[in-house]
Amino acid sequence: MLKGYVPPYNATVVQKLLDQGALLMGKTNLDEFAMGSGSTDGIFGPVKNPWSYSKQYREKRKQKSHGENEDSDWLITGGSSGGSAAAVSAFTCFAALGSDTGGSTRNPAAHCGVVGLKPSYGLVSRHGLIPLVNSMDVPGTLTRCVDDAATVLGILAGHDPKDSTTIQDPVKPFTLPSLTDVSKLCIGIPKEYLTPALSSEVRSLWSKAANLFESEGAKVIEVSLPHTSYSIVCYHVLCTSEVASNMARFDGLEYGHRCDTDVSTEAMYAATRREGFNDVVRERILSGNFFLLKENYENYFVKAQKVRRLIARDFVNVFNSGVDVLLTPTTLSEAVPHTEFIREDNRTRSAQNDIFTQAVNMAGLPAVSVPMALSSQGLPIGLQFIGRAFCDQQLLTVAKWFEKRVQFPVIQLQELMDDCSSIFENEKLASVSLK
Amino acid sequence: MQEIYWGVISGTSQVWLGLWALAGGRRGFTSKAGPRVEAGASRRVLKGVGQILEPLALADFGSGGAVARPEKAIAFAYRLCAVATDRVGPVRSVLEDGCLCLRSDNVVEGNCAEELLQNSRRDVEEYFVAPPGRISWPKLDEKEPLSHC
Repeated sequence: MLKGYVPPYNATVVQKLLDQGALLMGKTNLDEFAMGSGSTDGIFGPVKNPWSYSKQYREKRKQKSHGENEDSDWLITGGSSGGSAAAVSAFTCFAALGSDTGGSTRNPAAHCGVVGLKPSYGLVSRHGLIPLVNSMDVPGTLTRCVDDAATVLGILAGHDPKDSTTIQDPVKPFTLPSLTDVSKLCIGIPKEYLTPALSSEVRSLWSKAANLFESEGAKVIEVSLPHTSYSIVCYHVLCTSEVASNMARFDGLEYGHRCDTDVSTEAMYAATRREGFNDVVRERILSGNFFLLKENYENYFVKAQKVRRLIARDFVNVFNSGVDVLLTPTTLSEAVPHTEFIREDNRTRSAQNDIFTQAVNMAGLPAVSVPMALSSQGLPIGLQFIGRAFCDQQLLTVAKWFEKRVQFPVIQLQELMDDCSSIFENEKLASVSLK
Repeated sequence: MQEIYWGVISGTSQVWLGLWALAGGRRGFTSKAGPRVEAGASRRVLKGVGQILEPLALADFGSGGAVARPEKAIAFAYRLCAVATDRVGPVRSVLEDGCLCLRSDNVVEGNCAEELLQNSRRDVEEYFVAPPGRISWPKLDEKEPLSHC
């Protein structure tokens, strides 16, 4: 739909980075209009996970299969900001921007072994971010370590007159303290997030992480988010409804793709949108318009808005009980092969893969995915920390403590290892970006 | 099949991984859904409103496969009926308790007609050009297939 479109202005987050001297290396691939959880439904094709080509993964594969084409079963990055996660994971750039409406920054971060931050809603400007769900969208960041995420957040956060949904409170760049004493910290483990679909390896790492905090003196308690089971349905209704509204601006008249049909305005709009949008986007537009019909508006859209309050209230109640940070999985499993992922349609996969991440967007809370360890197949598994609203700095402080303890290994890509042998002397270094 | 559950042993302050019986069915993300809309029922609903939906959305159902997915999406959404929301207000913004300010209505930037027009495919004398606007899009059962341009 936006083929050939050259934006006449920079998004605020982009301009802020440029103002600090950042070099914009390029734009990365994603699911079309950020609708998806695999980065497989973009016009430029699917994104390949760099870990598909890592020494860690390939050595494990060789042990199991012999003589197969090494490239035939490459892995997805997760999505929808998969291109950004892949770019950071493969050391293409220092950091990348993504968007996060239901987990689209955290999900690929977990699959690509990088840190994916979703800031509090209202902390970072959405001006210039193509809107998907106005009340949930947040620009996200992908970096190789938590310190880098804090650096980028410090630049991006703050009120923007061009985005009236940014809070007025002044925000300054900050340096994360190195937390040594976690005895005053209370970590919550939501019991409803323990689902049969969770892989045993992720489950095991989740348990190990909780034990790590407790062994170092933190208080770790089970908590309840009672409306969790309705969260994905609620998100689905709100998302499609807002998408139906937000996609209405793409009609070919002023910018972007335009069909040659000249019979009538409506015919031109319809043909342009049929050609410009893929099936995934059109399905969401149609579903959303259904929920917004006069006869359905109260029963679906307003109903979902009410359920959203219950979900947000669950988080408030937990944090009011003394919990500082919640610890959950980010994804159900490690990254899967593309051939396996595409066996189900986009909507089904999104409903499956957004399961741990979308509730955070509905509550507007900050959350970060931090890589913890490699699976038995040599692939990254990340865990998610969820913080109180506008306590992003505290959240990242806890995440940094965790990152330092787990020492997630650096990806071993042959080209990188050949060129940068001195940098990789210390294989446990989480980030080589500013050192 | 053994399932795993999470528990905290009171008194020992240890978080541990235990065993969770399958009996009683799933918990966590499975919704205790109310009445389910069958696939057939949602298809009838969708077909019935299709004549309104497509013109409203200015997007069509396309091939047969693409019809099935909105049906599933609608059936999926029906689970919300099971949630009690009496005396619960809708959330329009998570920042509803705070103060959000609009900027003043002063023009401080713009004058970029040339840049904007460069993105349009058809314009005349700095006007965007639209086809005739009083011809409604054909009804679902009457329309001819959209030609691929």
